[in-house]
Amino acid sequence: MIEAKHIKKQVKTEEQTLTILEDVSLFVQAQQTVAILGASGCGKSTFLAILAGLDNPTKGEVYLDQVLLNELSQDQKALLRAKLLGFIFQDFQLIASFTALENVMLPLELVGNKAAKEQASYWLEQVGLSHRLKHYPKQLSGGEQQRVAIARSFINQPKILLADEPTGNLDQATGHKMIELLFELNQTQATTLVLVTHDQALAQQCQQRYRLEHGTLQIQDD
Amino acid sequence: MINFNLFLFIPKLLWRDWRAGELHILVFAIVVAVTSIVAIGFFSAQLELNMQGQVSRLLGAPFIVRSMNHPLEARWLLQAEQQQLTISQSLVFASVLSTEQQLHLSDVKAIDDNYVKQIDIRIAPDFDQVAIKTQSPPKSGTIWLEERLFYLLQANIGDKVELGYRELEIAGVFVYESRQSRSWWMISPKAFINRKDVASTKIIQPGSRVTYDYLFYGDKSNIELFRQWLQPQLSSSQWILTEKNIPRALNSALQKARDYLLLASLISVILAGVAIAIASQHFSRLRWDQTAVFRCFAYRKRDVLVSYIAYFLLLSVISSSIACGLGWLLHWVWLIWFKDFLLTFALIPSWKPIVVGIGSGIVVLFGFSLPVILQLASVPPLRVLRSHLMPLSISAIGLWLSAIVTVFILLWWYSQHFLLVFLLFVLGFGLLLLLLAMSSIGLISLKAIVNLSSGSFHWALLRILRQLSWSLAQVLALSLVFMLVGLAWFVKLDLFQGWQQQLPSNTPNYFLINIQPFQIEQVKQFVATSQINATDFYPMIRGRLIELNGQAIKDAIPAKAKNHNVLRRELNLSWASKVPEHNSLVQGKWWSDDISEHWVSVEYKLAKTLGIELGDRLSFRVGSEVITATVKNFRQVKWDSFYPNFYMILSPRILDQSSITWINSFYLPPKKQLLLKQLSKQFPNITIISIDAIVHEVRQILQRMLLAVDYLLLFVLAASFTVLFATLQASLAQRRTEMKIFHLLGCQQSQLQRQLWWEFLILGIFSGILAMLVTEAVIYGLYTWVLHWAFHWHPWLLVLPVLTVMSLMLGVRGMNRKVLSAP
Ligand SMILES: Nc1ncnc2c1ncn2[C@@H]1O[C@H](COP(=O)(O)OP(=O)(O)OP(=O)(O)O)[C@@H](O)[C@H]1O
Ligand SMILES: [Mg+2]
Repeated sequence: MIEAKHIKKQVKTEEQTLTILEDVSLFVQAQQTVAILGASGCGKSTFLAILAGLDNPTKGEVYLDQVLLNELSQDQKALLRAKLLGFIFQDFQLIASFTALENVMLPLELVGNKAAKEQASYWLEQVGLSHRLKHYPKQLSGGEQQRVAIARSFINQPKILLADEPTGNLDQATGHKMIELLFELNQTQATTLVLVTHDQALAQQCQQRYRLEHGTLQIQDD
Repeated sequence: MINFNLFLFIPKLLWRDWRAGELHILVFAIVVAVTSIVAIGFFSAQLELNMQGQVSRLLGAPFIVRSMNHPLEARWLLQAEQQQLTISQSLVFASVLSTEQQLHLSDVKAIDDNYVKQIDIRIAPDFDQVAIKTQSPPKSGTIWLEERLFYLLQANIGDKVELGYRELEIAGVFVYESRQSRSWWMISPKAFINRKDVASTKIIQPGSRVTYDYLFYGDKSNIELFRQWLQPQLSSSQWILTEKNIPRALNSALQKARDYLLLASLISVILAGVAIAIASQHFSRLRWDQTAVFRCFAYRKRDVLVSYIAYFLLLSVISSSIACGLGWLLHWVWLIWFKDFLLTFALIPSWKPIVVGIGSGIVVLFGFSLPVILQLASVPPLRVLRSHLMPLSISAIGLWLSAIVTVFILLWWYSQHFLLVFLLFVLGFGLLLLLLAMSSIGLISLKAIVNLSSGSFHWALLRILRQLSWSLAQVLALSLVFMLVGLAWFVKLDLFQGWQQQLPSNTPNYFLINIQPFQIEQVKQFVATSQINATDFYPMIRGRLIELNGQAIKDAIPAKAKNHNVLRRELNLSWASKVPEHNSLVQGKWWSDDISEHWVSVEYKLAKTLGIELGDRLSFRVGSEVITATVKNFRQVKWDSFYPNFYMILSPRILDQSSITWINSFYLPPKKQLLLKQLSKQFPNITIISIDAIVHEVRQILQRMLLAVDYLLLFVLAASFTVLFATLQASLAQRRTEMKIFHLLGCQQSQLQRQLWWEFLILGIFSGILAMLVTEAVIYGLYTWVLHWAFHWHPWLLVLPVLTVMSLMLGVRGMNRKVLSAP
């Protein structure tokens, strides 16, 4: 489902060229669940962005559902994302002028799905926010915002879900519930899950665990 | 392929952004801008309607065809009747009226029933009786005479006069007619007869000189249709009377008012541009993050483009439609205020303001936001992870260029006046940019005192310098707004002054013509002893311009001047040893004592039209004699004054002294009217022409215009200050977050506030001075090249910087409470 081959990522800053990812390869089968761990600043978010086609690797290839991302234009990637991908951003990226409900509806609205509102209310209920539909991100706590972001990533029932620290802001109980939801999705919709997390407990529930260190990815055996 | 789902999504997006308050400034700017365009447009249209009303009142009808010597074809009149037009006719011919004692040449006007229904003609039953509006033409067999004809003919009411083969009874004293012709001071005394009596006088024969006027009344659109149908069929001796045929004083006043209206509307459009530009810049910043999120989901570049185009289109259509309604309402409130001054008004006087309003709402918004939309399309989706990732930076030049070109085309299309718009841009905008470049040097040189300064002033300076391009953008916007304010204000002052000078309280209301050479000294003495405020006396003789440099005049002048009035009729020639009062030399020298040759001084505009140059030789036929003189200079003449004015003035002693008469004009206050009787008793042959009525008329119209234009200015001012407000709001909104953070970090509110004050004080001073300089330059250009008014310096413009700083401080004061108290 996801295949990354020898990904290298360098960014040029004013003074020097910074190598964030040296040589990273990853293979994830359909419906598999994978956790990526690593110290802060080691390049996890960068790697996830490359998998999602938001960022281009300096070297290496990414296949999503057998499609080689490198060959696609920005626009084609956008369409592929709409079809295939769900993404939970580390800092949520909710739209400030939209209510919680509208934020969740957005991916479906953009493709003209009529059921956007029902779906969105359903998923917001699933994340326990059915009473906050009309509230703006500003009015929500960090954890609540994160749950909205999670609901949004579920709504187009993606085949692949990339989640950047989906439980970072949640207390244990709520975090636990969110994780349950993630895995439920994985079961019922056959969604492939790639999670970036610091949470060992969450990582343990995944079928595979990797550690990103010094620009390379290693399988982590406990 | 276009994703049509967008079109469902965009209205929702618009609504959500509005609800979240992100659109308020932009919508506010568009609404204010378009409202002012529409209101000013409507108001101008109503004024235009009134001016047309005035004109057709003075001319006598909305559509008049004059035909020389032959009546119009009967089938044309039939066509007019079929188009539901009412026709009234008058015909005028010169003829001798005679009584047993005397005879005198007069202009006889024959009128019909319809004519008196439409035209206000006042007739007194006898001398010293009140004149009343007549309801019918003179009864068949009777005649009305102008007062001086009674003296000239030594006749009384009830006497008989002969006109051709017909004897008519004098039945009334003609006092006033609302139709005013242009050549009011050259006419013979007037007499009125019934249209039906014309045939019996047997005066009109093939070849006699008769002026037929056909006045058409009816529905505006029917008249327009008829005009279009008729115009191509008219012969060279038939023409349509237009504004040019009303008295010059009024015509030029109306023209000036129109010029001002146009200027005011242009100013309102430019103000709109400024407001929308600023607001849309501010707005686009807010879109970046949102767009990045969209791009992460399904949005392609193209989708971003399409949706923001749709977004802005919808936004501008909605806000401009609201503004159109508001503009109409505002203009309606005005009308109610103005009711008593208006001759006519229409519910919707013209659709143009609406078209222009919505058009400029859309065009301006797009002109300014298209580059921004393109920029939005380049927002990388990765921005969601790395917020420092900016969209492709658009070149500032591209942005300005697209905005300037849009506004330029819009204004050009709107005003149809290339020169005016060009001037406003090149002078107004170009100069502003130049000065801006200079002031950026000025601002940078403030660096020197940064280290010397302290406290809030220091921080304010630092901020200005750190954000130099932002500061300059502020200065540009502010100085543009205040330049426009200055322009609207000072041009209006000059307009008013011009109007007042045109008709001072001692404007001549009487003309003396036909003063014989042997009387001239006595008349001068009479005028002097009775302390009348009189002009100089000018000799006058009629002559026709026949040759230019020895070539027949028709062949010697440019083709487009061939129909000029001057060639069709005899001119009034005069001579003078010094430059006449109210005239000024434009080119060449006065002859003074140089009598080596025969000289002629030519009116400047005529010389230009006919292509006459200094040193050319002009020949005139005067009676049987031909006089040739060399062009010595060009003169500017105040045609809109009530003084004797001449196209051609010769050097003294060219003309045969015996065949000339003298002319002058003077102001006679009402309480000195008795002098007239004395004058006519002492010099019975002198013709006294009263122009009191027309002076009064012009004065009244000017007064109305004065009021109207004042209100217009008020509105321009209101619009400018609202734009200023929008500007401040936009720039202060950006500061809000910053100030909040500073406050959280422990800065005192009062200190932040002081810093803000200093900052705007410095920017205000710069903008005010820029605005002042540019205003004067634009006024100079406007007067010299477009309006042809006399330029003078405006020391009061010094008030502009003060005004700028003051209003800025007030604005900041009002706004900044909000900034600091924002949660
Ligand atoms: N365009 C860029 N310019 C400079 N540095 C960059 C750029 N993009 C990424 N980096 C750097 O690359 C490193 C990896 O960033 P990334 O966001 O992937 O870390 P992360 O593993 O997600 O960390 P965290 O757990 O804190 O979220 C960081 O040190 C970041 O500063
Ligand atoms: Mg990260």
